[in-house]
Amino acid sequence: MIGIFKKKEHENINIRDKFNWIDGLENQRLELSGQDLEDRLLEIKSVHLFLKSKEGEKLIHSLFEQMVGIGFPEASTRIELNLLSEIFSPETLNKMFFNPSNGLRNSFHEGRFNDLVKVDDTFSYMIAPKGFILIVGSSNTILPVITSIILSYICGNVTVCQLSKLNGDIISRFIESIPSNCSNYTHYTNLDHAEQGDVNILKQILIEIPWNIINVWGGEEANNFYFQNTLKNPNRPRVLNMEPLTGIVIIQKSFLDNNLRKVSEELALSICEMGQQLCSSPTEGFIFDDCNTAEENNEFFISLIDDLEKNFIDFDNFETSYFKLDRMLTYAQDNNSKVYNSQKYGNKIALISSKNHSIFRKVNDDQSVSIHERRNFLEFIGVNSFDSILEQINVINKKYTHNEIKKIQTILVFGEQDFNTHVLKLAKRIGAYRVVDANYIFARHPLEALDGSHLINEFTYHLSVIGSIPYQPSQ
Amino acid sequence: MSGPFSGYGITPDLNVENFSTSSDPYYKQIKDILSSGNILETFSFDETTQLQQKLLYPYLEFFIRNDNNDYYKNLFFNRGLAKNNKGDLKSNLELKDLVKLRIHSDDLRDDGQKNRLVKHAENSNEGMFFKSSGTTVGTTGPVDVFRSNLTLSLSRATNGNLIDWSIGKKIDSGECLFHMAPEMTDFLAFAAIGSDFLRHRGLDVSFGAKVKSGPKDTTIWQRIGPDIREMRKFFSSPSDKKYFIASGVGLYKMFMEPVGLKKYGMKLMLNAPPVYLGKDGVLMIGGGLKRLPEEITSLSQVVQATGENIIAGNNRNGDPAPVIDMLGLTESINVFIGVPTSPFSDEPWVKYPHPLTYVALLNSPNDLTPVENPIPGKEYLLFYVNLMTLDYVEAIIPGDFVLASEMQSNITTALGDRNVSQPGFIYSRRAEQNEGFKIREGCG
Repeated sequence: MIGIFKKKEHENINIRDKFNWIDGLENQRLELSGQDLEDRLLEIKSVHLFLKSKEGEKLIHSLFEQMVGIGFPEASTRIELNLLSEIFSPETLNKMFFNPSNGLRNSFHEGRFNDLVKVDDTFSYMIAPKGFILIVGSSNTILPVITSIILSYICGNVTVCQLSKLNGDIISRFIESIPSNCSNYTHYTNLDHAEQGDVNILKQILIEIPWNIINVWGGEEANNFYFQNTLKNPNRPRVLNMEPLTGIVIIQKSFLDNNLRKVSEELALSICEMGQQLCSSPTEGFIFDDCNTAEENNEFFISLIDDLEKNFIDFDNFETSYFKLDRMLTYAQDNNSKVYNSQKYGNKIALISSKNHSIFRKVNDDQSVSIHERRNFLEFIGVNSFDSILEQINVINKKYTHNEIKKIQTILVFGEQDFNTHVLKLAKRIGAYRVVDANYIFARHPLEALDGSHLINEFTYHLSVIGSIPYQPSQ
Repeated sequence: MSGPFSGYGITPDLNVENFSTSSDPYYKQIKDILSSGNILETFSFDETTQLQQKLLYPYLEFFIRNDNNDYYKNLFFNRGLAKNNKGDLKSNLELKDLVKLRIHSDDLRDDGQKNRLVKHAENSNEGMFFKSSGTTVGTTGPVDVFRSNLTLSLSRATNGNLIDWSIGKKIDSGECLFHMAPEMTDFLAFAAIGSDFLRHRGLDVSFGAKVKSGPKDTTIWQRIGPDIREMRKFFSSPSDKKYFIASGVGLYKMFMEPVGLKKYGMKLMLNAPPVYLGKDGVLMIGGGLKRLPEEITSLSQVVQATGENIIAGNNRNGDPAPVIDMLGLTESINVFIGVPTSPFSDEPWVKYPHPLTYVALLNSPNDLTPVENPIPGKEYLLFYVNLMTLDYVEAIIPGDFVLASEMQSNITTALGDRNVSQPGFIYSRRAEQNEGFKIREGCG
């Protein structure tokens, strides 16, 4: 089946020499599309039992050792690996595959997934695999990429992973160690787009293989690279970018006054989770003053510092970043914002209370620490209207602190019912993807879309059966 | 072009009387302290602390009186030293509160100092701008600090105190050679302030480097070369009191790097090594390790390697000249001075501040709390306030780590015993960015 791949004769590198699985991709696609989705779904559900077994626990433990050995923070690694088995739980998979919010509930028949769905006498459709999926992983987490690989396989696709050299081996080892055929249909490139020696090979892979979906989890630079090079692929694959996003927290002041402990405790957990490095981690806060009092929330800030201290996880020191951080904090002080830090951990925990606007909107790169360099840091901006929040969110990535952020992914909200309803309207206006309570900063709901896209929908298509063609309905 | 060194350098007549601030009570108080004798030679630790405590309020009030655009009134309030932004200081301030006024060196890059200058420093004609080399990676430009003639006049006294104390007697005669070009006395703090003080004391000041002509797009640092004539003249002078002031790089380039024919050529040109500094001669060094090869990890390595060739005497029978290492920073009007040490000594090179420089050792870059009783040998972050810098609040975190030294009220140096007026420190290193494991941005 080599003929379907467009060869580029003028390049010396033959990607087939480097990756001998390329020539077998089409046969694998045909094999998978001839199998039932339900069979693969059952097979993957069985992995859950394996992960709960001694052998599975041993595997998870060795992954933990490997990740920590590389330098992943211990606490966040533990959280990720604990959640890993949840992806394989029958409940989670059922929710994902019979999800009413992405229309897949119609495929649910007597506890089974039927990919053929009869809508009426003249219209039916089949859920069919897209074909070839390239997943480009980022180095900061393993869960999103493993989720993508597993879902792509269940949907019936042949999957190729372009992983970071940092965690690529961990992900491939996991996939190869679970009792599933998934590893037979999953291949790896693990090249580095920033390395001259790899870049031409990677470009050829992007251009010459007839990808259907290229799913990129990465930062600005990686997204640009994959998006630009994919344009030359004659198959015109859809690029599904999982862009760098961030989270915000919106707090109703009257709610805060009545629920100070709850807000403080839950917000502290949300800030500490994964070192504030998730796309959902709150990196900017708004306190909506519905009480019309200019009163400072001193008590809240002191309580939040206290809760952050309780949840504190130490992280690597970046000496020069601390100088920048201190310059940021003294700049804030000098410009009438109030700075709170920890007696116990110094500037490693820092909160700022600003009025009306972010104090850092005019600070240059030289004097500010980006959200990727800082932990346990949050600026709260006191506002009087949702328009003010909207205005500030629209320019959030103009600030050096947030300059690579494409948009707001998650809004963590603390408020009464009416207030929260307004937050939902605001979320729609700013194009946010999720409005959550504090339980869902790290955790993902099995029914939710990932940054606006349901991966199962992206990895499949509807094959329409129209008119009076007789066929045998699925059993 | 009114400077004393081929038109460069700090003008001899500082015309302090032109400054209205010269009648300010705080200026007068500092003048009185400095004219009462060299307090480094007499003050105990306690007396130094008492003096600094006594100066705390007058010092802060000086900036309130001479404030420009209410900068300091607001600063003192915002940083928690004042009750309001009208200049009413809190009543219970302590020296350690000065850390709240901290400025990081990076705050002084480009025009970072401008807003901080008091009224008398507005006229930049009556003073000089000092710049760092600007070679620190990842910064926006050199540290750029204006010094008014008023402050420079005080620095003549304070840096004079420091060197007199270190040498063990008042310096008022002899020759000195700066292994720098005279042009550097127009912007390099160490060269400008050192040469000004020594010239002011009556010493014959010369320079062992010169700036060559070159393409317009090159920097002065790229065009600098040796002034063989001046160096030969200095090295061959029969004076008994010669001070050779060099950087570690300068010594390395002159006496360590040349080998074989180059070494022979150097000897032929300079008539050195060895260098004879006369029986009272001293080698003074400063600067860091920039531009030195990787295998050189401390200046003491350079000094040890060159020790046999820099002699206190006029012939080979003389002892190796004692070495005084100084920590000079663009953002400090005073140097932190070492004491005369044998180049072959294994003793740590402790640096001492002037009693008018309040020094605090801070816990760490993320915890900027002054440590009450620093543990000798432990690493801390350096913070200092020069109470005699009157152009801006010179409360600086330069980004240097130092080791606390033993608390000794008297020390023995290569040139005799010394009273110690304030604990010293041992330079350790510049702050570094520890890359470690850095989670990259991305989605998750």
